[in-house]
Amino acid sequence: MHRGSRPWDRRNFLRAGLIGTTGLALADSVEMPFEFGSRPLVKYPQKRPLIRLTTRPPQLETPFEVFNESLLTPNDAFFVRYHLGGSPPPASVLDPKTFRLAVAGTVGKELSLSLEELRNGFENVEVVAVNQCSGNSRGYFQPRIPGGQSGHGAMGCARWRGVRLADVLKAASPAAGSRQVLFDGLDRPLVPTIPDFVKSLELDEALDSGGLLAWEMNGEALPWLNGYPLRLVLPGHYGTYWIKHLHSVRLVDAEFKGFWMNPAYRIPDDPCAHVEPGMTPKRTVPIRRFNVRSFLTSLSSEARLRSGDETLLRGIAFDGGAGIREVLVSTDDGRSWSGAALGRDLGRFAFREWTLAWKPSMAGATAVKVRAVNRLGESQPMEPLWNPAGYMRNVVERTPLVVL
Amino acid sequence: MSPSRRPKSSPNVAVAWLAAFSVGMAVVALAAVGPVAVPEEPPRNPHVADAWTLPAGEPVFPADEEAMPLRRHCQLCHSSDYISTQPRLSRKAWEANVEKMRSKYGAPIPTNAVPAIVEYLVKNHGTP
Repeated sequence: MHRGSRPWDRRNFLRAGLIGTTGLALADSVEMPFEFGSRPLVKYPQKRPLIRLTTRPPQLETPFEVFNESLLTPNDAFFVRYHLGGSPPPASVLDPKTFRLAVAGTVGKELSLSLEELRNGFENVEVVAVNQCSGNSRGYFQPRIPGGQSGHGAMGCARWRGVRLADVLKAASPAAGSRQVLFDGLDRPLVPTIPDFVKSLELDEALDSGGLLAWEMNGEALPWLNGYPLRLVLPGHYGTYWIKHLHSVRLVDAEFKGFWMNPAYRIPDDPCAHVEPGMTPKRTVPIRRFNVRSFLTSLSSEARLRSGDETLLRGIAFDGGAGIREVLVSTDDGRSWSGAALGRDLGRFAFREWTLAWKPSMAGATAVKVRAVNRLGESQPMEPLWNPAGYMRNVVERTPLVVL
Repeated sequence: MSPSRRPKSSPNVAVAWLAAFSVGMAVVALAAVGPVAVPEEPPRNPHVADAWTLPAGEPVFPADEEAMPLRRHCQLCHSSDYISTQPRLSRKAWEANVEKMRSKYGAPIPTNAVPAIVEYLVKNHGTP
């Protein structure tokens, strides 16, 4: 998809903007709607100015209006999230001519693959998939939770291209008794006592995940800050597994117990991954797949509309890979709901566009709410759920508006 | 593997990639379910690592007595915006976070520096 190639909402968005606030980032900073929410907009290599949450290691957030530009998030606006003080790796260690992916551990055949060997030795495949940070929207949790205080911009949808993780694992002939696969990239600590960023998957899961070892994003090489030259793409799974600058895939015959699998990145072991605010879960499990989320993207909070003017509400919905079945929209703050039209299906892991024409008839304050349902019948709660790490927010979001 | 530490590659790589790409890009069917097979071709844009430098400057903790333990022990691994963007937390929560950094995360913070770090956090980002 090309930016601006769709008539849908450009006009509508601009018009709304003319008579109200749009949240358009014209200034050099933005104010997130929570305490200590002031963020500079900063330009990084291969990126347009993005919302900087932290400087070292860098965490950059996509300005929300980008999600109304196109279903595929442009590479120069895609969010960035590193964990460790030595990140991002300097260009000098990312030479595409000498970069190698090692596949080792409990395998019959160890591999050391150049980018060219990966590209030429395995079938090349593409998938359109959302990547979302586990802590996307953490800033909105109440009570507040320490951690990266993201708004809704730590997510994005891209067309990824690479080879199947399963094909590469099979080429290494996993030994009988292999249990897990460990992924290591160049998100590295400065101090040797601090644990390297390593993530694990069960071997069966890794073989069935639909995962890619990807070098390309939206038709271009991965940007530096999104994992150049190779990253793991794990459709439907939280970004914590999408290891950037991936250089090592290691099979092991035991359960990996590294910091970044335990105690980090864990959720309460119950179907909704939540506890009462302030409580500690009895049992936790590693975070895995996205729950269902949906957003209004064509209007921002406190936008002003004119009574009697028709507007095309537009937004996005996604889930962990079942695919979106239905999007319901309320223009009266949740009293009544209408089914929105779903846009082109870019695959079950992609953002799904929704639209709904609306002609406000009553002046006054109102709010738009959006609620998606996936093909398994899973949906979003009307009231927010809480967990101690501030992961997986998926409450029905509410956008207050004013009709003049 | 150990990634190369050689200085960045020659522009020839870029030229080769561009040339190969200009042979033409295949039209790719959209993935309805999962990954789909596509013809092999090299990535489209060249390696432009020469321009890959981070913007200069980073937020630091104040140069006063109170913040000195954070300048000394926290700023080694992260910029001060890791703290300035945090919500207000209780003393107990700040103590737990510093302890997590130390014991689980492995941050080299000496035990005798912990009270002063917690004091600073409570004073600047503590719940009233």
